[in-house]
Amino acid sequence: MQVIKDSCIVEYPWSLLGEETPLGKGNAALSLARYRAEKATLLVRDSAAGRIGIVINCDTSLAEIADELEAISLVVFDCQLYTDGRVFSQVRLLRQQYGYPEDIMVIGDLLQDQLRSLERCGVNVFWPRDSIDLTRVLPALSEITVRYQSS
Amino acid sequence: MYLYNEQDQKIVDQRVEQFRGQTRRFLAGELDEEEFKQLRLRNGLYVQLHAPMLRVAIPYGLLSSEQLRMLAHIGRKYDKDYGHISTRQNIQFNWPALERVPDILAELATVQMHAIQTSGNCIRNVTTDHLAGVADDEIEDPRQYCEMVRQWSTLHPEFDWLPRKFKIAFSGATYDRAAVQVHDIGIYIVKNEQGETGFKIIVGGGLGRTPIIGVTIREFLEKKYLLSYLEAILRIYNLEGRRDNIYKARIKILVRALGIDVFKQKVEAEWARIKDAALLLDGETLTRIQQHFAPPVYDKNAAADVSFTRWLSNDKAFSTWVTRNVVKHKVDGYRIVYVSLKAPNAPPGDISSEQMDTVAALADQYSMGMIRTTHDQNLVLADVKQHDLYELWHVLDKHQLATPNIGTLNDMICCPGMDFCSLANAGSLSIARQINQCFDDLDYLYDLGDIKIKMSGCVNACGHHHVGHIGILGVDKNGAEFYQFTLGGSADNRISLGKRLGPAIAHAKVAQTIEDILLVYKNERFEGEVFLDTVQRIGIAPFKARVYGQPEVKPGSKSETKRKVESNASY
Repeated sequence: MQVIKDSCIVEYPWSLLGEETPLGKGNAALSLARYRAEKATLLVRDSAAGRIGIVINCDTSLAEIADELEAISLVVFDCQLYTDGRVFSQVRLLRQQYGYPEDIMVIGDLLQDQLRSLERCGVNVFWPRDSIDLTRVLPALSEITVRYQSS
Repeated sequence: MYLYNEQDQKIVDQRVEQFRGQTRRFLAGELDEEEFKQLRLRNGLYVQLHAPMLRVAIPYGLLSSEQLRMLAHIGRKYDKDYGHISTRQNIQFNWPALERVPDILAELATVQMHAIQTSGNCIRNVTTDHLAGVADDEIEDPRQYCEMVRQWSTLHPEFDWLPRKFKIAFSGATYDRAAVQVHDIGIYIVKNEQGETGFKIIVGGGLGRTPIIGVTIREFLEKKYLLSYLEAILRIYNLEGRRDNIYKARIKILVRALGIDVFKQKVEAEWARIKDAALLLDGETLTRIQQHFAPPVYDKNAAADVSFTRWLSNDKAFSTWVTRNVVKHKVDGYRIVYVSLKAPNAPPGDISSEQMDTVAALADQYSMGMIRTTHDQNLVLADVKQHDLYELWHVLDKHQLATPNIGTLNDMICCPGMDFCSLANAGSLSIARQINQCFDDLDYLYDLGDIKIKMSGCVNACGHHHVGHIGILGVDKNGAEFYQFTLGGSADNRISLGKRLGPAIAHAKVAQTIEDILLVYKNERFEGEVFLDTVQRIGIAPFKARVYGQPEVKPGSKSETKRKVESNASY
């Protein structure tokens, strides 16, 4: 899939698996429910087969996934509504409080005008909307280059 | 005042270009109405009944003469030659064309002004005491902290999409002139037992359709923790505030639902985690910002002037104006001047471009080049030598800026109401007009003393009616405009929400109702007792009886002779 990662458009070697799609080779992000259900199998999976990520949304409490973070290589926030600003705080806490070092991705209902703030909070991978032309979105990340806050 | 450095300037310049792009995308159909609405609100742009309305930020109510001249220019070039001072110390233009707003913002940016976060569900312009730095009851000048909060909250990446709008106010004096306790966060500068200055933090206050007085979350916060504490409150609110119902989304509802103890526990746990990290204010930062608010150099000989007292005894009109519109300054020989934007023939808070230019010139000549806006919708020239008052008064008077009515019944707070606002259920400007026509005898007003009338055209309470000594709320009754009265509200330290007088009053009866209320006050008051004290002492019942029980006025009473027929004149 094509995403914006660290301010560049790149081919991202991950797939977001639906509930029914079988887990094949390669990096895959699963819903939290599916991750939990298949956790026993996932943990013994050969790391060469690919890494595992989880997809959560704004209703998921971070405390709930804290114990999983060690084993997962991508956290995806699936935003249902662009005005729901909880994701900004959740991402920040995931970085600051939980010290999560791997990729944090946001997908779903977002405005390009929100990407820079999300990036500042700790998101480094964007896949804003299915149909969106990433080359047109990319400049939104550099519209405002200065800031008052330290991050 | 705080002067922009290169970085501050770059932020507003880049924001203008960002908004230009957003406007272009909207006009090209790339952003839908709702998406553009979210973005334009964060740049102060509303779409009102007749035209867009642009709300320009005046951080903590402080303006330079150059900035005021620019506002005059904006009024002239892009609007109908005037602006309206809001109850949060900002200025609103009621008639800009949507496609020209980016150009307006670009012009504003040349004088370090903007409309960032003057609307939308984000942290709004920080407000404070309009007498900051010059009041003689001040513990410390709050503007330096306002500026720190302004910087911290401007384009804060985490808090631009809150459940609802968020308002912060500061007071550094012992008397609260900033309605601190009815803000989402209210901050008093206080001294602890060791004599150190810090902050008392109040949270969860607000007006709107559910008026609530804030509760103290922390009695004393060390200065260096100001921003980390605010960040912790905002983070808990952003994560836990309700988003399912716009009317339950303010922080006051969250605080009430959790209870202050649980809310505080959550905030302090988060604060403990972040307090000694990046947001810690070091001495260097404090000093750097403080320098911008150093007191001006005052003339040591200002008090030696004798002309002032001479004019006071020789010119009755001047001395009346001084009594009402001029207050004591902390420096001997200086005075603080209120510029009244409550001339009887104009909507409360409106100021023409020509008047703005006049005030800017007066500020340059007599008041260190600075102007303040007040939440009562007037202006203040804060550093005037007593020697200059007489000349200053003449110019103000010539431009209808010296109506000697500050603090009186006619110094009403009033939202734009149905004349401009698409939310309003009833007009408020026509009521202001009715009151002005009915109460046009200044001696009578002076006899009544300090009375704050606050009027809102709908339950959103932009006119702060709940905290008016007399509050008036416009409601719609089957398509007719009615007005709900409350009595005994107050926004100062003795904060209280007004009590409902009774059923809403018809439009034509509003001024008469006020007269009835005042008649009860005049009959009941002790010598020297102000209206609010009388209401709080005798309760609402006698007023109720007068207004609803005995509607007819005794012939020949003072009240009867004062009543006038309402005319249909319009602004």
